[in-house]
Amino acid sequence: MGEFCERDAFFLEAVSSFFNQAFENGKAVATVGQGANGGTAQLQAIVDHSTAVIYVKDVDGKYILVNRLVEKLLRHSRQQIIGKTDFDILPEADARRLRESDEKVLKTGIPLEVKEVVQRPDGLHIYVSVKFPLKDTRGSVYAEAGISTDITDRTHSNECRRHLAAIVDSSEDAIISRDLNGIIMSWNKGAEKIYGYAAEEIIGKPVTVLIPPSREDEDTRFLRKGQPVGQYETIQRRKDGSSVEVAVTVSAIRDEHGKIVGASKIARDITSRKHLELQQKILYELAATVNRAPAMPEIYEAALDAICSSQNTGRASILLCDPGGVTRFKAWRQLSNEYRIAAEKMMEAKYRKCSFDPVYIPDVSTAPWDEPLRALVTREGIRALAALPITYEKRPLGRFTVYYDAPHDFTHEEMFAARIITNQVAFAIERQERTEALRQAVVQMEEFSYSISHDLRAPIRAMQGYAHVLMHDHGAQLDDKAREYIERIIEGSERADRLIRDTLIYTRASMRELQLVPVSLENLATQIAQQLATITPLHPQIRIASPLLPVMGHEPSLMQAISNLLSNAIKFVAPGTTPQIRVRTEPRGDEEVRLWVEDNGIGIKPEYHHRLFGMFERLEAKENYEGTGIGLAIVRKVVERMGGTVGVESNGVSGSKFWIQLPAAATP
Amino acid sequence: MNAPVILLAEDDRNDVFFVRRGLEQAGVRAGLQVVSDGEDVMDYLTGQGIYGDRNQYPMPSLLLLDLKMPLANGFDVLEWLRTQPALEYLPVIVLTSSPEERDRQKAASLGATRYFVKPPTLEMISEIVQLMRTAPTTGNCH
Repeated sequence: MGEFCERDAFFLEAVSSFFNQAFENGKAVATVGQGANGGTAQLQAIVDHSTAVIYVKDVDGKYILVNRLVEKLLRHSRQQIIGKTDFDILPEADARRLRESDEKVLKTGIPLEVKEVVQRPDGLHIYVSVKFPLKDTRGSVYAEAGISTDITDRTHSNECRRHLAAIVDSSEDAIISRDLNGIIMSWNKGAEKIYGYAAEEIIGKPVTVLIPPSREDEDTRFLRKGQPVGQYETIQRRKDGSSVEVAVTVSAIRDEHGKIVGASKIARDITSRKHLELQQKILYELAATVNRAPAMPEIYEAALDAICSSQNTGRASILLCDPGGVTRFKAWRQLSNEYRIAAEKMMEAKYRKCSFDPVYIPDVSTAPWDEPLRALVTREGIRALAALPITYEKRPLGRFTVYYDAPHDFTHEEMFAARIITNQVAFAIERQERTEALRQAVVQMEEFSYSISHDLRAPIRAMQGYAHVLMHDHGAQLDDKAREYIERIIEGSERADRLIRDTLIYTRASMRELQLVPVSLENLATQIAQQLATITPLHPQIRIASPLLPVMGHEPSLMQAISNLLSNAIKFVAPGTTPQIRVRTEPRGDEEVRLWVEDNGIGIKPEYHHRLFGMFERLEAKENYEGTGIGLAIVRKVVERMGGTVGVESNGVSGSKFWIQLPAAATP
Repeated sequence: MNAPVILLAEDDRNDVFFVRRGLEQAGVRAGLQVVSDGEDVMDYLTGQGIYGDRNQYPMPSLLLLDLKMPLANGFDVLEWLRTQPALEYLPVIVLTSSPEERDRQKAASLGATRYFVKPPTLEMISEIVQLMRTAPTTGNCH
């Protein structure tokens, strides 16, 4: 009768003896429930004050006595219950179930403990019921009594306790409780795993066995303040003396009055998390260095540092070779001179055959090596190593080698980090090579264009000059035909010269690094307009719609672009028309400014607009309008180099509106 | 008194022809001495070798300097001139085929008086006439 307390047992006995006595006295059992007798009233009072459900049924299952809780349970008054069976009161299924156990008791004469589940308005209730026979002096059963205790609450809390215990036990975290003196009171499996102590050997010991002396303060801080310290990360001690990094959550354990009686500690092993964080930091820092694009040796050294820390070793080397196998860079960490010389030789010898995959040797004693290498490695005290090739698109660039003084199990994280680091170095080398090649190409291009501007133009100038001289000094002796040919030579050579100059300007604009500064379009446009107005025979009217907004640009490039636009505007007018040009600016959003050059020229049909800014594009025959067809290409190139855009609006009938758009500058 | 002398440093004989013709047509009354590389310019100005004969090779009142020449180029000559206090008086007109802004700036920073892009123009010739008029007719070591 495990569920029963002592009080229940005493009561049960009292009820039993009372009934026996009453029966013996020849009193009709039926009168018990009537309350006529003083003894009966006494019994009724007693059972009514019990916290258990108490009833007596006769052999037919009719209620003889019920207490207050039975009335409550069955939701009938005592008068309604007495003399009735469960079948009269309860749903049939419930009644049958109850009757079954009742009959068992009546038949066997042995008390029975059963758990019964009853639906109550507030939900299912669990009762533990003791049903026992009431026997007369001859030993025959004349009634059955039952005492049922509602154990619903008790059952729930037990269940909760079991669940909690299961959770605590299955947790990977260490869950520990300690009293106010710092004595360990409980210890779960997670704690066993993290610290290495079994529950039996640690419970009862001071919690300080886990804490290095320098950190004892952390543990007791919260108790002094009387409040939880929350979470902190610290280093603690395992049974074997090694350190473990843990994240600890401490909270107070209070008694029912709210007084602190101890502390619970949840500790999580964060060694691997910390390690991962470190790996990430290493990789991030290397990437930052590579991005900064410093001199290559700095990248190599940073990569060597990264490989050492990410692979958990202090010994490493980096050897980089040119395509020909000649060492271009080498650096060593904690390796003897003898080893360096030998390793470098081997690297150069094997360079072309070098593997594209990393080679991990967790234990050199089992490595399939030839003698000189084995002896060299052994002498150096190397017990494990990894060779990490640095390659770019199947091209070997060199390799890292990392060394360990003891056999080493390479972790997934280490291999991953190694791959990223070798890729970073390969990328940096490749980038450096490409940058250098590009720089060389630009230098060559510069030299080429410089020599063109000097050497190619010289013979053209000579042609031009001599044609002029011929015309000037000997023109009178020539006939009209001859003079016309000379004019053609002059025109042709002038045109060739302009072409060369414009091509050079275009090429230069494509390559030059431009420093953008605030430029006053007002000053620039005014200056250019004045120059053009004086040198152009057409006497153009150029109106500047002051004030023009300033832009961010490169002044010489802008001058080039605006002169070209204005020259075009002047040039492409119908014969006999005075060019009328308006220059204005408008803000485009807060960030940009658009400069418009609007003319009264011949216009450009919309279907040709897309060809306008191309190289050597001419939309008009040379005979009508002179030009090289490079002017607008130069405009677009320099504007794009300044981060801007160009465009045109024209219907092909009445004038064109060219624009360039650039970042706005603060008004100076 | 001898006519003032212009020293022309130019390795392109066509350009020499055009300069000479331009000067003649503008009526510049000056003797034209021609050298074809930078080293010759320095030798001429310091009277080295054959240039020691100042009757044959008088000190010039003006130097017309090409930039792209064999051996020492125009910039080398300009740099060298800065180290020659005795030649401080000598105006230098750069006459080059380079329209490059950086060349123009470099020449100016090295002390060139003017910078003209070939071919020689009327403007250049009139500048020369102007300089011939204002500059001392010749140097000290005549």
